[in-house]
Parts: sequence; C-alpha cells; structure tokens
Amino acid sequence: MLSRFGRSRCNTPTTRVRRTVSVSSLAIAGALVLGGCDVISGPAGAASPKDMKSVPYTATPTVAVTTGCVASDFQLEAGSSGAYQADAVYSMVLLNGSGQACALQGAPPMTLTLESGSHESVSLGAAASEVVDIGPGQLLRIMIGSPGSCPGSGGPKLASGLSAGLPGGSLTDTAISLDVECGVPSVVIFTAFDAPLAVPPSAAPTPPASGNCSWERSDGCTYAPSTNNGAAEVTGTVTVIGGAWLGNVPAAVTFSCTQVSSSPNEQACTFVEPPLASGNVTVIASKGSSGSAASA
Amino acid sequence: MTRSSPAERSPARWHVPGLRAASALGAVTLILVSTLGVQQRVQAVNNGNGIMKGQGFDRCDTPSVSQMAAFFRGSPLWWYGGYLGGASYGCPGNGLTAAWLNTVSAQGWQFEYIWIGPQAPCTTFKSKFSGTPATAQQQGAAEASSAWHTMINDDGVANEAAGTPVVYDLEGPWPSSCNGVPNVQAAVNAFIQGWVNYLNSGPPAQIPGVYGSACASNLTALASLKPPPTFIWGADWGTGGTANTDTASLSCVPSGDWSVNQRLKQYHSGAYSKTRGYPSQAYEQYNGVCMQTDDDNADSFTTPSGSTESLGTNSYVAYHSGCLGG
Repeated sequence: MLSRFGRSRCNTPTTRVRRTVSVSSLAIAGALVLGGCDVISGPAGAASPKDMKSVPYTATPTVAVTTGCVASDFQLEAGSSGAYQADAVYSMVLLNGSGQACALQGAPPMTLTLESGSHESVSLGAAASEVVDIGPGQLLRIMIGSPGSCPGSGGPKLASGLSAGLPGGSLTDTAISLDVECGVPSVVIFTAFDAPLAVPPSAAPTPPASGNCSWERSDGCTYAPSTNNGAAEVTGTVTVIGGAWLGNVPAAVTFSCTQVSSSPNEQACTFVEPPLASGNVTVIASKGSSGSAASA
Repeated sequence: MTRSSPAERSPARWHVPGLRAASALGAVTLILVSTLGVQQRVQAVNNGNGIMKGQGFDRCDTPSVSQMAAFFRGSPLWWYGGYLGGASYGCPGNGLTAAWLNTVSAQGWQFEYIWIGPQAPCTTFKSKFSGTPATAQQQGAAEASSAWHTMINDDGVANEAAGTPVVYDLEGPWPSSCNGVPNVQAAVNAFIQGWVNYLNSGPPAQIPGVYGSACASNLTALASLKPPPTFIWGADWGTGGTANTDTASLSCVPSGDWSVNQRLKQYHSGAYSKTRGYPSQAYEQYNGVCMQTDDDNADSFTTPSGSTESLGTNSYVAYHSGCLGG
C-alpha cells in the first residue's frame, strides 16, 4: 500500500507467517568481517564525507523472528514526557529482556488512568495492525500523544498511569505525566529501537583487556578479552577491522573502551598497546556475539 | 548581553587528563579512562559550521552507531538532526553523547543539534515558559546556557562550541491567550529573543536557530526579532501527495525571510498523525538497516562543517520494500 507520498510503510501486513529482523550492530559487525568492508573510522575529517559515501556497504544479515511477544518478555523501563511534533507526548519503554526476538502483532490496547480516577482509552489507529519485531535487548517504544493546544485550553486533564494489555498479561507504568485535555490520546510512534546508553560514558565499563587474536579474514581480527576489569557486561569479543598495525599483527592487545550503546553492546575503543596507525580502524565490541561471524 | 567566559559560568571545569596522549595513539576515538572521583571530558567532535546543501534526517531517539554507519554509505543522507536534551525531550534516553558523536562523526556525518526545553504558555506541554515576556526572555537565555553547557561538557564539542549551530525546538500551535496570559505570541517572541541573544553574545558565539512547524509555530513572527534567529528549520510536510523538499518553499514563511542559506526543511514525518495526514509510520532503509525517520533537506548551517558541493539531490528519499526494524 502506498501512502500519500508514494511511500509504503514498513510493516504493512496485518497477518504474518514469518518475518525477519535486523540484528543491527552484531550483524553489521559480522558483515564487516565477512565482507571485508573498508572501514572508514578515524578522527573526524580524516577522510572526506564524499569519499566515505562512495564506499560500498555489505548488506546486514538477518535472523528469523517467529515468536509472538508476551508480557513476561518485557521489563518496564523509565519513560519520558515531552513535546513532539505538536503533541504533548509520553513514551512508554519496554525492554525485551527475554533473550530472544519476538514480534508484536500490533500495538497493544492501552488505557490511561487519569488523576481524577477515571480511565481513558488510547486510540491505536493504524498502529493496531503494525507488526513490530523486537530483538533481544532491544527496546519497544510506544509514544502516545495528545494535541499540545486547543481553543480554551487551561484545564489540565492529567494522566498518571498507563496500562498496556499484552498477551499473557498487562504492564502498567505509574510514572507518567500527560495532559490529554486537548484531545483523545493516540499512538504517535510504535517501534523497536536499539537501546541508548544505559549509563553515562564516564561510568561505562572501561576495561583494560587483552587476549589472543584469531584472524577471521586478512582484514579483520577478533580478540576475546581475558580480563574485564570487573565489569560484568564486558564479555564476548572485540573485533578489529581494517586496522594497520605498526608492525606485525599482535597476538594480544590492550585497550580501553567506552560504551556507545548498551544493546547491542557497542564500544568505542582506544588502543593502548600496541598503538595503531592513525585513523584507519574500527573496533566493534559486542557482547554475546556468538551467533555472528565475529565470534572468536 | 555580554556572556561570561565558560570558566566563569562553569565552576566545574573539565579536566582533560591524557587527551593529548590519547590523540597521539591515533585510534578511532579519543577516549579518556575515568578514574575514581575524577570527572572526565571527551572531545567528541569538532565545533564550527558550514553551509550544507543536502538531505538529512532526524529522529526522536538516538540511533545506534551501527545504524548510522549503514545509513551513511551510499545514501543521499549527509546530516543528522539529534537532540542534545531539554525538559521537553520526550524520547527514551538522554539524547546525544560524546562517545556517540565521536564515533558517528568519524563515519562522515554532519549534525544539527536540537534543544527542546519549555514550550509556549497556554499549551498542554508538561514544561512551559512564562507568559510574562520579561521572564520568558530570561528563560530563553537560560535554556541557551543549558544547551551550550550540554554541548561542551556532555557532548564534548570542541573549542567551547564556537560557531556551532544549535536549534531550539518550538512546538506549535498555541492559543493567542489564556487565563493570565494576554499575549502568548509576545511571550514566545521574548523567549526566542533570549535564546538568540545568549547564543549570539559569546565569547564564543554560537549560531542560533529555531525549529518549528512552518505555520503552526508561526516562524515568520520571529523574523521581526532584533536580531532574529540566524536560521530556521521549518516542518512543512506538504499536501496533495507530493513532498516538496525545496527549502525555499516553506508554507507561511515569506520567501524573503531567512533567504540566504538560512533554511532547513523537514518535509516528511515518520510518525503517526492521522489529523495531519499521516496514518502510518514511515521508514527508510539503507544497507539492510531500517529506521523510522523524519526526512529533511538543508540549505543552511550544519556542524562541524557543511558542503556546497552537490551532496545528493533534492529528490524524495525512496522507500525500500521489506523495511523492518527500528
């Protein structure tokens, strides 16, 4: 179905037998290793954006998603109130902590609890039939909104709770704040996304780690950290792609990383020993990447 | 308004131990290892600006670096509009981070920084500025200060963010008045005047911009400010089945306003909005990675630089079938 601008929406089918979901970061890490992509990292300005644009990119592998989500797959995360495209909004955030990808066959029915004690249903609109796949560790964001203004506004109608009826149970967020005075609350965004930083970079694991190198290809090298500085999240592998070592490929490296995203776990790393030539290496540290080609 | 120096305004000056040494290693990023009890600062991205004439996208939450990498290669997209933060940031997470900017800027991206603080009085938004113009102007300056501190401290923009464009997200519409607020537009103008004056004043000065609905946020009213915002970013999603990406064409904004490399245009929304003609969400897909996006075109400032090269065309960003994911 084409929308008004000639664009079809992604998840059009209302019934679905089998779909796929990108496992973005981990899969890309694997793809880069497998495909031997030229990696374009380096200090800003090291290469021109125009040059970078011309570098081919290997398609992202996908994995099948066949399981429907149930309430117990999710953990309620902190949501947030704000303003978005003329609506007062609240984002309910659910973490898929099940360890497996699952799919929601449309936005769940949702009910707001108002401070007055009454209840109001959320209009789902087309989101009722939008299928969303949520990868393990990904977040589901359901942003609901109500118009930010209306004639004669001034009598706030505040909602303080939001319940989502998922298969197998419901989840209730009691920390919301949303004024629905100016119109029926409706779904604004219903999508899965990669988790942002769970902690500020300054508090992220910064392990000096070292390990043995096992080449996957001539242009990639995967290290299995042997120490993690006590940070439980730093497990799995560190993959070095496209690097130009000063000398032979080292058997072990020491580096310091800062977490860039928590799910998939991506870390930007600076090598301490041995140093690398300037601006020509990307490091992708991925937790639990045993399913990808980047595994050690 | 004369702005105090960053040192005067920021009592907790960031100490940058080891930065030069880390640089010398020439690795991907400049990461400083934290030590107990010591604050750290990461120089993530260069400051400054340039005129970008090309397409970009923005999004409520910050994409992963892998998603950004996939969206850069071979796509017509050159810049990303991302949130620094603010009281009205209604998306998960805290917006941009230094580590993220560091990595993504190395991928080749340019940026437009957005700050979304309090909104107009008489609206239903949770955070609102005062309906009294004098107070609103002070609040606008305070928001500019917060945005600036976030840029240089949390996001590591170099050189105290000198010359860096930063946009205030002003969501409209608003009623002309409400109880106790006789003239909402006057308060809006004063608030934005405070934003503009603070960022203009320096040292170092930034480049003040304003994002809003081209019509509903009444952007044209801001042209009368003295001085006005240096540039605008108008949301104008069009009607009649075509997306007009031309930045020169912004509904409700006269062609003579912000006419010289002073406009960005959000020409398509990725969110549901039945009332505004978007019954479905919209996604883009590049290199196997799919994201829900708002689509933009620029003929104005981005950071750390822009380009007057022909970076892509003004054609609509095509949908690719089979697009799935975030």
